[in-house]
Amino acid sequence: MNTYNPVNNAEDEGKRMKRRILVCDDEEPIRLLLNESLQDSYEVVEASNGRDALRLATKEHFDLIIMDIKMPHVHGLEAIERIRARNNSIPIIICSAYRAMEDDIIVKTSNVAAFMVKPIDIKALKTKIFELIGT
Amino acid sequence: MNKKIVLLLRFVLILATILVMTYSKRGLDIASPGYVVALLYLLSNLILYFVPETKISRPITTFAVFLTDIIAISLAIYFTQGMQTDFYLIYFLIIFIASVGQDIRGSILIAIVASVLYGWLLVQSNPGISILDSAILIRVPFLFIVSLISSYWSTTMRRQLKGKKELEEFAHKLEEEVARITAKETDLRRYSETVINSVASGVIAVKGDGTITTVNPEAARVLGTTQNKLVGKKIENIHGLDMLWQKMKKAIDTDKPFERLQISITNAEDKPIPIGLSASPMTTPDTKFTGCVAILRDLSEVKELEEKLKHAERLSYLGKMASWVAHEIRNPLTAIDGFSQLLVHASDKEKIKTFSSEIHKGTRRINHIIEDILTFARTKTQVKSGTVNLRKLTREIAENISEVKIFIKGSEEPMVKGEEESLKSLFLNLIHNSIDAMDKDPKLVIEFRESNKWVVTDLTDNGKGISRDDLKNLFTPFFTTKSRGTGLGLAIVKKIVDDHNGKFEIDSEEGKGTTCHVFLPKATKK
Repeated sequence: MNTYNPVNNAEDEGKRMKRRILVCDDEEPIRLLLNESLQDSYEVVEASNGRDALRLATKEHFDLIIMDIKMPHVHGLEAIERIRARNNSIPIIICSAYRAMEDDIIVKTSNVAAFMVKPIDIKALKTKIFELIGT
Repeated sequence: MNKKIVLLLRFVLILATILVMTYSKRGLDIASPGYVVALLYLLSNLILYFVPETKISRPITTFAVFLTDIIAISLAIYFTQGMQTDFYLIYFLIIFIASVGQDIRGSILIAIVASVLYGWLLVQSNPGISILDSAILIRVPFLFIVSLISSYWSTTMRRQLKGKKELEEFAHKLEEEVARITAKETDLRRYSETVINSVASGVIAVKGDGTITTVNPEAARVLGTTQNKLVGKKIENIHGLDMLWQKMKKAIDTDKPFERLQISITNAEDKPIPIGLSASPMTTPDTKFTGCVAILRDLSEVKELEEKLKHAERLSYLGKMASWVAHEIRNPLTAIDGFSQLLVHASDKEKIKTFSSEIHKGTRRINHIIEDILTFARTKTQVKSGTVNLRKLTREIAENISEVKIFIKGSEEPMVKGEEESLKSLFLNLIHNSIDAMDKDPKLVIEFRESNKWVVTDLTDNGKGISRDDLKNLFTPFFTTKSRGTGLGLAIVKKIVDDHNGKFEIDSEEGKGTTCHVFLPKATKK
């Protein structure tokens, strides 16, 4: 069967360079957890607030962004809006503890690839990332 | 003079005149002008019969009537020439009758007129009679004596009668006045009673010795009894009103009023009632009377409403809290869940250590959140009445904190009434707030001061301070300026302070630092 196999495809590319993910969360344990879970397959860069995330996203290239909502300095939603203004194609996954805000946020943010409510299932997150950017 | 008597006397006079005329020397002669006069005289009496009583009773009228009588009699005698007989005696009769109805002056006037007419009649019937004739010399003075004696006697009698009548009238008036004043006094008393009974607040008045004099229906209702059961009793003997009497007695003793005091009484049904009390001493200038009047307001409903409002506020906070709890717990939950999944596949010892430690931290954080919620969600806590040394307590907290330098100053033994665990939570929250607010060269000074009533703890940091806007929301639950704050810290601090019947104040200047002042009731030294 002639099917598209993203794993093999990604593996080929991964030999050249790991895909880069920006993890933005003010909770240090969450950043550590995501880093530990994803570092085998991806290059993970951490930002502890919206302002740092914006700075990094402007300066460097990322293949995917994982963003918390409630953060100091620059709020997650504002950060997403400003990133979108520059780069409309980068996939963004929101990881937030606010379930109640889910609908509201989806309406407000364009092109959000996924919305995951904490406590997030690492496996599900990994699958989603793989679906979006492969490895 | 009474009309009937005048008419009767005149009728007697007319009859006497006719009789005298008839038996005079001239014999019976109906056509004689004397009888015409007597007839006219009789007619005048008939006319007098129709004259109103009030007019006849006037002295001037009776005087005129008797004057007419004398003239009429004299004319009748003149026409019948009766002077030769004992006819003169009729003058005594008329003078006597006239004196009864006249005062002395009137009587003498009548006597003069009678004497002149008598004299004229004598001269007419005996021409050339001497003035020294016994008929004139004896009879005329006699006329005057009769006139004087009878008028004096009648005046005295009248005066006595008048005095008696006046006394009766006076007694009658006095009776009427007493009745009027009594009615007025009753009206006034009823009016005052109505006013007092209509007051929506309870009114209770006592004498200086505590005897209850007035109780209005509202006061009786508040006290759970009836007015009759209270009035006349000594307030100190009524169960549950000790506090009320104590306060009223103070107002009497100091002669000073007080307002809006909150006390608690026990009513007749043994139910505690919160009461708003105002009391004023009552004194009269001659200090013969002392007492006190108190106004009672039943605060049960107000207190109930306050409690309901507090409950509603708590419920509203609970709603916010539910959303907040979800957010706060999901983060450490994510960490615990994620690291435990990683732990399953981890072989590296260092990694296992890190993951386990993160799981432990997450659990501790969740526990901390639960503790905060429990503290906040509790209704007013009855503080266990222990004695806590704040210096010792804060030193223990400080020993476990390495992030900042903590200096403890002031009183060596700042002892307060309270519960150690709650107070520990209070100071831990404040110290953590200070730590979070400080960046460079963090320094926290805890100083104890003491007054008669309070032990004051001043916690001063050199952190970033609090903005004016944020100061307004300081005690609002779930309000936080910290990225990872729960927003419950100061709300909990406030609650613990309130539970301890203390006070809490904050002074802060943005950019310079913050000082928190915690006032806690001083423990009594044993």
